[in-house]
Amino acid sequence: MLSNGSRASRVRRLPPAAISVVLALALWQLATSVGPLADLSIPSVVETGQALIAELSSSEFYVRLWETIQMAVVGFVVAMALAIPAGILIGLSRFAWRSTKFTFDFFKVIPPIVIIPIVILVLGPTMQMGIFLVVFTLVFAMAIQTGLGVRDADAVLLETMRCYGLGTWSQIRYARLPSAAPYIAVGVRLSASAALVVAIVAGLIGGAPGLGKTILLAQASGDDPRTFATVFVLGVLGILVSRAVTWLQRRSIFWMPS
Amino acid sequence: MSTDITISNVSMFFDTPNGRKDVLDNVSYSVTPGHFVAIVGPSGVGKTTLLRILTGLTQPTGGSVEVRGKAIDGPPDGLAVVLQDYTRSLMPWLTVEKNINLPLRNKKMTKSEVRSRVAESLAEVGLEGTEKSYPWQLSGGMQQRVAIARALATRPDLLIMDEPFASVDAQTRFDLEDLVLKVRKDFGITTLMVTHDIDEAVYLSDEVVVLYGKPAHVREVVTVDIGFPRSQIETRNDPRFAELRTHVYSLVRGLAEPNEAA
Repeated sequence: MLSNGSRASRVRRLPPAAISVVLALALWQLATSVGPLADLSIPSVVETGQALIAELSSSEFYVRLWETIQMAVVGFVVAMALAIPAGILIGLSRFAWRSTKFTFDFFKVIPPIVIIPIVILVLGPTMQMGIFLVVFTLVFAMAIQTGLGVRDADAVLLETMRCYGLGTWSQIRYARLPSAAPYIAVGVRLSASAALVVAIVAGLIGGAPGLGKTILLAQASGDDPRTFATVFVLGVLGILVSRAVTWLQRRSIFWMPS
Repeated sequence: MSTDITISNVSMFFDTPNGRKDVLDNVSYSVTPGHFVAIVGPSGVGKTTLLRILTGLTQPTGGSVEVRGKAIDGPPDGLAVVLQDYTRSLMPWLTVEKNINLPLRNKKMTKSEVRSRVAESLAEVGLEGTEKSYPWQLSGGMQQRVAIARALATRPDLLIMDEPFASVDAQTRFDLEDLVLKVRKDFGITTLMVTHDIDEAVYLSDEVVVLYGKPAHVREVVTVDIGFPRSQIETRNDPRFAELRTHVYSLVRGLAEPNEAA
């Protein structure tokens, strides 16, 4: 019954989205062919579409796409594997929380672009560099997010468990971890999108392989339709990632109204 | 006479930024095994503080609490609790069945024993067949019944309830009060309940403890000399019920002198 309802609303939601897409494309085409952007070198919808078709039919494009996805996914997985257990541990101990929070907050706010020069010096413009950047960007914020979730377990619930003689381990397993789950889910969702962005930035600014580098090269050679086509592909990729993670989140945190 | 819980000269103060705040002053009281005791008093008098001390979650700054002859320094064995805020004391990520059997993990029971204990407890509170539901799929009154079933499933020696019916509507409240009377008849668990509802206190209890003052002391222990079984219609129309509730009300509002030195 629930799935029927959401399917119905999805069908109803689609037309407005489609209308806005068509409208945006029409405005873009109009602006680049009639005015006010007609005199600039911004490619039109048709030109971008042609470039997109050319890209999608070249095998080179898929190699680059795969490189970007690999950097994003490996970096994401490594960051989550480090940050979630670390976050749980520091969230459980007041001392660990207080002593790490400041340092983690400090690293959290450093934008990845700032450390690219240093990372390039050490690792060069490689996939490893891209992966490292992704991990560095995600790991501190995610650890803090997880720790916050663990600390947010309801005091009433924990005291109820104590009254029933349930010890620390039961409290962690049945109260603290489930309480942290919504926090972790939000962190995972934001991290997944950020991983993709950083994997692209690594190529665009740092020369790591992948679609970021494709954009960099297309720009450098003045191939604007190709630049736009690549950006378009990245946009679609971003939407797919965010949809997939939202879907997973709804299934795993079923007790929270979404 | 044997007692289940002995509260001896319990005092409690908190250190606040505005200096020391005394909440309880020399509270002494003994609970007879199998009795149902309500603790009433003006709001903010320290009822819940006293209850927290009785659960062992808070240590008093003076005096002691003994449960079956043993001074407590943490939640005593055989304690079960029902709190006002069922949405916070039940786990939304566990089914009704798993919420109830969680406290049974520490007891040496087989899976089938646990399953039949859960089913029995749900039957006692009138929620047969809700094992696989999640708490948030049930109404507020039903969720509080789950919390009561969880308490009963542990076969407690001591049941402590903090404003258990304050968050449900009036009709549900009467139903839950009658459920508590039935539980009393079926199990005879020594029960302490904090409530701000004086009618409810008199309706359910063997004795009503009136806390009063800042810091609070026991102003009077009112014995409810109304027999069991009790019913919402007859008991509440009993002239003795009216007398007792009026007396307790006057004590809580500070309008009457206690009948005898408490």
